[in-house]
Amino acid sequence: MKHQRTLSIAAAAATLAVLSACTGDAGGERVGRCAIADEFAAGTPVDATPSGEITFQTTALKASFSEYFTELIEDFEAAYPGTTVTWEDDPGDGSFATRLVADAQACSLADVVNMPLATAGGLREQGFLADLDAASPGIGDDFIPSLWDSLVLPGDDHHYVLPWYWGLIGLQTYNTELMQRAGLDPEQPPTTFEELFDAADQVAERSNGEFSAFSASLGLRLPLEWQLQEAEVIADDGSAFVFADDPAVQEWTERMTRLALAGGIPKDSIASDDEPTALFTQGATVWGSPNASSLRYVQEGNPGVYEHVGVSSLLDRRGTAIAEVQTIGVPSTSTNPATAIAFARFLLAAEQQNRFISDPRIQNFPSTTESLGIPKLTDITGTAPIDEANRLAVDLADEAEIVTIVQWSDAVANAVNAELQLALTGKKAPREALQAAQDAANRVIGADAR
Amino acid sequence: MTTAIHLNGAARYRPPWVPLLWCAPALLMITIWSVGPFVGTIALSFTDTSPLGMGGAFVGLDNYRSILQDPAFWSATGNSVLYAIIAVPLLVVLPLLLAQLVHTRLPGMGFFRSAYAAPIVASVVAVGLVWQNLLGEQGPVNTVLQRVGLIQQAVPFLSEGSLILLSAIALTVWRGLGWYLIFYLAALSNIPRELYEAAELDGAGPTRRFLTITVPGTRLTMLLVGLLAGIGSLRVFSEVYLLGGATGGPGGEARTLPFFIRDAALDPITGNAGYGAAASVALFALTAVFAVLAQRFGGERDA
Repeated sequence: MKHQRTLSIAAAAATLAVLSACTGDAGGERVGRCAIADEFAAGTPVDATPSGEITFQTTALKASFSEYFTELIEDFEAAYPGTTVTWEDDPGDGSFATRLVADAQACSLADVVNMPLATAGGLREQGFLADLDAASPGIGDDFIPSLWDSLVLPGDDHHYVLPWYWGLIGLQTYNTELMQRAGLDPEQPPTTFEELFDAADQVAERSNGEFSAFSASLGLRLPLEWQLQEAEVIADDGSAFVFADDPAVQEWTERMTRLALAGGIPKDSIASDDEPTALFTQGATVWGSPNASSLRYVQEGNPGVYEHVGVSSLLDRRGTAIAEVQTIGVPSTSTNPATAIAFARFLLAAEQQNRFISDPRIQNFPSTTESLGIPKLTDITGTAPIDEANRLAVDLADEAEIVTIVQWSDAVANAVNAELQLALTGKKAPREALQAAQDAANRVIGADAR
Repeated sequence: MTTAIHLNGAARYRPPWVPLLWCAPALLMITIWSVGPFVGTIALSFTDTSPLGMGGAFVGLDNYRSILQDPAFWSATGNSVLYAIIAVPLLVVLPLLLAQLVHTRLPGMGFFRSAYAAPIVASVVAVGLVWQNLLGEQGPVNTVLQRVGLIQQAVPFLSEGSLILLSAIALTVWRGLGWYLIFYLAALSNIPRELYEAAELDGAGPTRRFLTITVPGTRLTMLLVGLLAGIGSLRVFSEVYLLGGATGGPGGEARTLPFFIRDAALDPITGNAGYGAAASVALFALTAVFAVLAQRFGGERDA
C-alpha cells in the first residue's frame, strides 16, 4: 500500500513537471501558449541582419520542384552568410489545415509558411501571423497592384501574407464537337451564366442522354460563380452570410436545379468531389473545368477530345478575372524574424519567381509585375487549346483580384453544398435549399445561435 | 472457504512493486496516448474552445444540450446505429459461412482463403475508388442490371442518401469478410473433427452439423466478431466519405456520427472543438452501450 502511494505521488509529480515545462511563461506577449517575437510584438520594422536557422514549409511541391528549392535555398544562404534554411514540404492533402493548426497550437509553425488564404485568415484572426507591412515597410511594392491591394484580410488594412503563385478563374473550356451536336455555335460561347444555363438547357434537351452539359462540382464552383456575378455572398463586415437574398444567387440555384432535373448534369457528380476534368476528358460533358491548367490532363488523357477543346472567358457582370492565390506568411511566433522576413522577400523576388514560373510544368501566374513579362507569358505563339487558354489568361492576369472569402472554410462549403445537393436531386425547392444553406453556413461560423 | 496464494521461487523474494515497474512503460504509453486524450476530450466538451485552442470558456452542459437539439446529430446517430444493425449480423454470419466453405480439405482451397483475405491488405481509398466506379450511373453494376432487364434506369447508388449508406455498408461487409474469416478459421480448427464424424454416423446432415456443432463451437468467436464489427461500424467514416463525397451524400443524408463530428465541429478554422468533443463523448457512450450489451448478451448465453 505504501509502495503504491509512493508510486502515485511520483507519477503525479512527474506529470506536473511535464505539464509545467509545457506551460512555463517566459514573459512578453503571447498567442495561445506561444511567445510572440519581440520584434513583431513591437510592430516596428525588423531590420536586424539575417543570421541563424529558420524552417520554410511549402505545400505539395517537393515531388516536382526539389531542385528549384534546393538551389534557391543555397542562393539565399550564400547571399546571407550565417543563415541556414531547413525546407519542409507538407503533402497538402485534406488534413493540411488541421496539421497547420496543430503546429500553431504546439508553437512549432515553420518560420516561413506557404498556405492558402482561407487558412491564413484563421491564423491571422488568432494572432499567429506577423503584420508584414509593419515588419518590412514596402514589402509589397513589387507585386501586381491588383493582387496586393486585394490581399487584405477582413477587419484589417495591413498585410499578413504575401502573394506567391496563383491560378486564374474566369475562363471556360468546352468541347466544340459536342456543342455542335447539341445545336450550339462554338464560335459564340456564353459570356454570362444566364447564357451558359440557356446553352446547357439546350444540351440537356438535344443530347438524348448521350452526354451532359457539365458536372455539378459544387465544391469547385462555389462561391466563385456567385462572385463572378457580383453577388453579395457575405455581409460587408464578414459577420454573416447573406447569399440567399441575392437575386443572382437565387437565379443560379434555380437554373442549376432545373438543369439537373432535366438530366443536364450527371447525377453521380452531384455529391461527388471529383473535378469536372475527368468527365470532360471522357467526352461525357460539354463544359470542363474553369481552370485552364486542367487542359494538360485532357491533352494527356484523351487527345481526341483535346483537339476539339475551345477556350474563352466567362466573366459575367464582374468583367475581370479572379485570382486564387497561394500565400506566404511569417508566423508571429517565429524565433528568427529577421531571417524569416529576409527569406520571404528573397523567395518572392521577381528573379526567383521568373525562374519558378518559367518551368513548363507550371500553369500558374507569378505575383510580381516584372514576372508577368517573362517570355513564357508574353511570347505564346502556339494555336493549341492550352496556348489559347494561356494567351487569354495573360490578358486577364494584370487586373485579376483576390476575392477569397476566408470564412468560406471546408465546413462552410460542406454545409452549403449539402443543402444545394438536395435541390439538385429534387428533394427541396431551390429557394428553400438556399435559405437552409445560408442558415447552415451561418451556424458554422457562429453567426447564428447554434 | 478461502484459497491461500502461495508464492514460489523468485516471486517470494520479489518486492511487490516490481510487477508495477514492469507494467510502467505500457501504462505510461496508455496514459499518455489514450487515457490522457480521453480525459482531455471530456474536459473539452464542457468548453467552447476553438481548434486553435483559444477563447475557450467553461460552458457547462451547453454543448451537450446543443447536440441533443441538433437534427443533424440525430440523423448521423441514426445512420451509425442503422449501419451497425445491418453490418454486424452480416459480418458475424457471412465470414462463418465462408470459413466453413474454405475449411474443407479440397484442392485449391488455399487460393480461395488468400483471395477472400485480399481486401484486408488493400487500402480503403483504393477499394473505395473501385466501388465508386462499380456503382456509378454508367458503372458495371448498373450496366449489367440494365442489360439483363432488371432495371430500366440506373440505380442512383451514389446520389441517393439511403443508397449511399447501403453501398457503404456493403463495402464495409466486403472488406471485413476476409478479416473475420481468419478468426473463424482459427475457431473452426479448434473444433474436434470427431464431433463431426460422430454426428455424421448418427445421421446428421450438413445443416444439422453446422447448427449443432459449428455454431456452438464458434460462439465465443461470433461474440468477439460481433463486438469488433459493432465498434468498427459505429466509427465508420472513410466508406461514406468515398462513396458520398465530402458532404456525406446529398444533404448529408448518409453522414455517420464520425462524419458529423468532423463537419460540425472540427474544421480547423471555423470549428468548435468543445462541440466536437461533446459529440465524441456521445459516440463513446454509444460504443460503450453497444459493447456492454454485447458482453451481457454473450455472458448470459455463456452462463
